[in-house]
Amino acid sequence: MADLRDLESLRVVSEDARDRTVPPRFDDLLARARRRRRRRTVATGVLAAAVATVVGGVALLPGTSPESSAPDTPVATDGQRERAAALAPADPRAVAVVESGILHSFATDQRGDRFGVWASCPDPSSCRYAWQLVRADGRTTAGLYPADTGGPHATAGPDYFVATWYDGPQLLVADDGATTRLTAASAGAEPAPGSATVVTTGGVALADRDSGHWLAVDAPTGRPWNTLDVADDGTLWGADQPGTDPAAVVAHRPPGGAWEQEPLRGPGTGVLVRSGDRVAALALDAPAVGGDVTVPSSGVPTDYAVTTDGGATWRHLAAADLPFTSLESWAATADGTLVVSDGVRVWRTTDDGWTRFAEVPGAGGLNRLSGDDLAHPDRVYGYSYDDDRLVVVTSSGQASVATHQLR
Amino acid sequence: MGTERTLEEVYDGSYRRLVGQLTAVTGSRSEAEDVVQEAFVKALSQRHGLRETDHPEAWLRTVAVNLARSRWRRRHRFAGLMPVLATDPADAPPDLEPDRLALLDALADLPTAQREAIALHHLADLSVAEVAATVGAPVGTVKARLSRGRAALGVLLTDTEEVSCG
Repeated sequence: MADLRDLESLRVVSEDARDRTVPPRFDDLLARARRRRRRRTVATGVLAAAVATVVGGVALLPGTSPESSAPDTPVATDGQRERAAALAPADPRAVAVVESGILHSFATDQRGDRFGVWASCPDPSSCRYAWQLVRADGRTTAGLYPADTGGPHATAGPDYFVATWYDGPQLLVADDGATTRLTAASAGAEPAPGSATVVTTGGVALADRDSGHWLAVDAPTGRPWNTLDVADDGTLWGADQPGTDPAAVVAHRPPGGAWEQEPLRGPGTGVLVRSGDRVAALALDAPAVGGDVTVPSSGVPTDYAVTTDGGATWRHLAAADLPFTSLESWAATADGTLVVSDGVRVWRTTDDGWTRFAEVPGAGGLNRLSGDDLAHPDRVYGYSYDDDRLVVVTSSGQASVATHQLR
Repeated sequence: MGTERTLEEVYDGSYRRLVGQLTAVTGSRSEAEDVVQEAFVKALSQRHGLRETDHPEAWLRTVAVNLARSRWRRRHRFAGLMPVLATDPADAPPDLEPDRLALLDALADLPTAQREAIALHHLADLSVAEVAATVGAPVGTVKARLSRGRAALGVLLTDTEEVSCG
């Protein structure tokens, strides 16, 4: 019988291929590269001529359907035009990391701006990290994340982003590209609606753009939060890490009010996603990793809990009743559709109760999802590591390549 | 020209090793050769990328893995095909025992991220940190993928055993 201990013996596959390989002549590859450079030069000239003569045309990326009919940039208000006038210049060192690096995390904000954190690892033991902001109008700026270890998470507030890592700096990037290193606040402050989450060594906290602090929120269970969210009316929502207890809870608290808790019915860490009064939570069986402090966002669901009335009533679905057997990422559109990716396939809810799901055709392989774009309320953005592409998934079940990619 | 000569030295020293590692990921030596060659062509035809790194072999490996993923995605999307390790008899090491082949088959059934992590770590002999740098994921995530992948492999092997017995 095959045994997992045999895995190491399979190195023979790699070693055999290495030993039997006869490299082609290097000059052949060089000739291919030179032909490609020449084609690119010609294509650039043709494209420049086309852009000069065609205004307002639609460009399709090869092999994809066009982005949904809604314009990528909404009609500019005075405030947005003013915003467009100011954008910090990109740091060339950061641009180099973005151009050569790999995306670690991304988020989108309520204006449709897109924020990615990139890593370039010339040495496996150390990486350089950079963030890049791609605004809804297509303008970009970039800066370095001031740490060389750990892969920062990207999260979004209403009009800012945060790049954060367990024991690294919590860097807030405003929509004009200005950066602030957040510091811990004294207890008792109330977080603003839509506050971005910040990962700390004590669990998840919330960013406060105005004060330049991050705010710790004490959980009613005394355990660390795994997910936090602040609704427009100031209600705090959280799902916690169970630690040695049997199950996590999802909890909510109105401003100045008391916590109400809903225990999850399966083992594992709690994660939640919210759109208005609809909140979905999952207990995730995410394996312990080394002794690292982690904030798991993916794993195998053991219980699905959903409320559509702000937590007054809950419905639970067992894992067997869900179409997905693992969670890679999830997000909600601003108009109230839940989108779930298991890393291979993508589903969207088809009912107001968030209990029925339909697969989104053509949207497989999305590794990270981000929603809550008020400018395009029917959208969730998904990034595929496989394709290095940002994909738009709509609440009606369409998938298309985003006009403005992350780089 | 200087970059081209430098890359030729990298090519001489790394090409066969990269093909071996990518064979573990793709399951096909010819597929591995394609993506490794394409990675070198990209390096030769781009202004950025390789020039920015002190470890060109790691950069090339990452590009090759990304290319392999893209090819797999295209095949999966348009033809409904899954990559099957060692489907081409010419790719299979001649002296692999049936149990090892069963393990390779089970590996092919894993989700992409888990398969990549296990192939690069256990078959291509990269450290967890090197796997993380190659696939662009935090070390903790790679550890989780290895853990989940090994657990899933255990289940797949048990299922295979039950089917073959039953």
